[in-house]
Amino acid sequence: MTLPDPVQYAIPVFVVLIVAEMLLARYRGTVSYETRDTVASLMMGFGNSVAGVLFGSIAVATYYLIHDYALFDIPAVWWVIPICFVADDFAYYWFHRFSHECRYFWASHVVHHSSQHYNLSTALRQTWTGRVSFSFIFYLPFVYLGFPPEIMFFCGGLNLVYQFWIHTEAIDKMGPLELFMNTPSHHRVHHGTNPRYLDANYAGTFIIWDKMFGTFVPEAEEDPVEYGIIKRLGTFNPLRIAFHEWIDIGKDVVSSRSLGEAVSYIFQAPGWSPDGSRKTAAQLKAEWRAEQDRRSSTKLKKPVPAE
Amino acid sequence: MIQLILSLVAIGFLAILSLWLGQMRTAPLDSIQTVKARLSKVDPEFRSDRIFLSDDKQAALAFDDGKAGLALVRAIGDHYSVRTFGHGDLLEVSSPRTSADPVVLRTKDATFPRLRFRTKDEQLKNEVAQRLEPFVAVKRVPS
Repeated sequence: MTLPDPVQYAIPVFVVLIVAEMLLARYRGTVSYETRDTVASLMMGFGNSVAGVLFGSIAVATYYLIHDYALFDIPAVWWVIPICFVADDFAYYWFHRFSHECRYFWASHVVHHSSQHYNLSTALRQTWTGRVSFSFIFYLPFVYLGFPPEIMFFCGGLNLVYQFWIHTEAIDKMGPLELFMNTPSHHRVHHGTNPRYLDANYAGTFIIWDKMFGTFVPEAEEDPVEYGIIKRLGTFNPLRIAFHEWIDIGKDVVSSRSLGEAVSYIFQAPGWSPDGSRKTAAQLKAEWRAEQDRRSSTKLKKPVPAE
Repeated sequence: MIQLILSLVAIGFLAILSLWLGQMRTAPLDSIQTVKARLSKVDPEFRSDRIFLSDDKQAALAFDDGKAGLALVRAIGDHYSVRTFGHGDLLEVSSPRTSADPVVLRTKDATFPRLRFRTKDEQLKNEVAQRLEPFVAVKRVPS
């Protein structure tokens, strides 16, 4: 079964939709685009494509190697595609969750979150180092189960194409679709740096995974999303965007006082430090929750003025 | 190969369109209040004893004399980026040759590599340079 790469076919549509969103932003007078930010995002997308050409074979070779030892012989036929798509989306959820909760994978994924804008060009702001850092290992259990690699790649491509259109502020909440699909609203939350929104909504296509595993947070009108990363980048240089977290990991490892500390710097959550001088997203969120609880309990305890 | 070339063409087209639509914006750092507001979001404990604003309103430096801290604030597109530093955290500070040249600070932070501080006020430039001295790991080099 020969399947095309859906992303290659979708690129012209991506360009047309970005033009449409830019014009809409102009028409509505919103500030969802900034030229240098947009160019940086597009250059990161271009670099990702180049990295795909250079290093894509690492994933392909690994998939086929694992598939040789597969537990089951799942045929490469059309009805396997929808099943594989759901399996791929489940794997994506875990890949994405680890990409936020483990610094090693975050070093690649941070690129996608580094814009302070949220628009369709942000969807193309992609890592250059994902393939060489073996981010695809989360999909290997399904290859080992027997899903044909060509169908896995096809479904992965479809998932990426789906995720393009949800990177927009132009679409509000989408009614019943919000219940089970990943939507622009759900994904805006994922790109938020507000403590309420940290480490939430990791879904690719189906938001059900977040609801099942306790990471779902709805978009709250009273808390408009502030996009980007907590330590906002002070550069548009694509090389720095691509490698800054790797450089920081390197510096931390060099400054480590023990092997354990070095390993923790690499594999603990982003923001981890041995002395607690930095904060992880989970810590920031916990502090925010504690503050909310304190405020609401103070409100409750407030004496009622005598009439 | 042809796809990569087409991608570059598309990027060029979108960049020109974005410029044409007036989407190149710079967040102004035009007042002490703006700098303080940005700083308080990032480091609420930072006490700005002295704040210097760049003439082009794209950069600012703040000094916390109490805890020997330096805060750099810069416009990054239409948003801001803020970092705080301690003594020895700057790689170098260039000495401008002419009054039109900016003071260029290079930091050890890969996510905030440099800041250009422009001012025609020579006295201010000297004060800034003097205050930056303890924060520099490598001594000043001619730009």
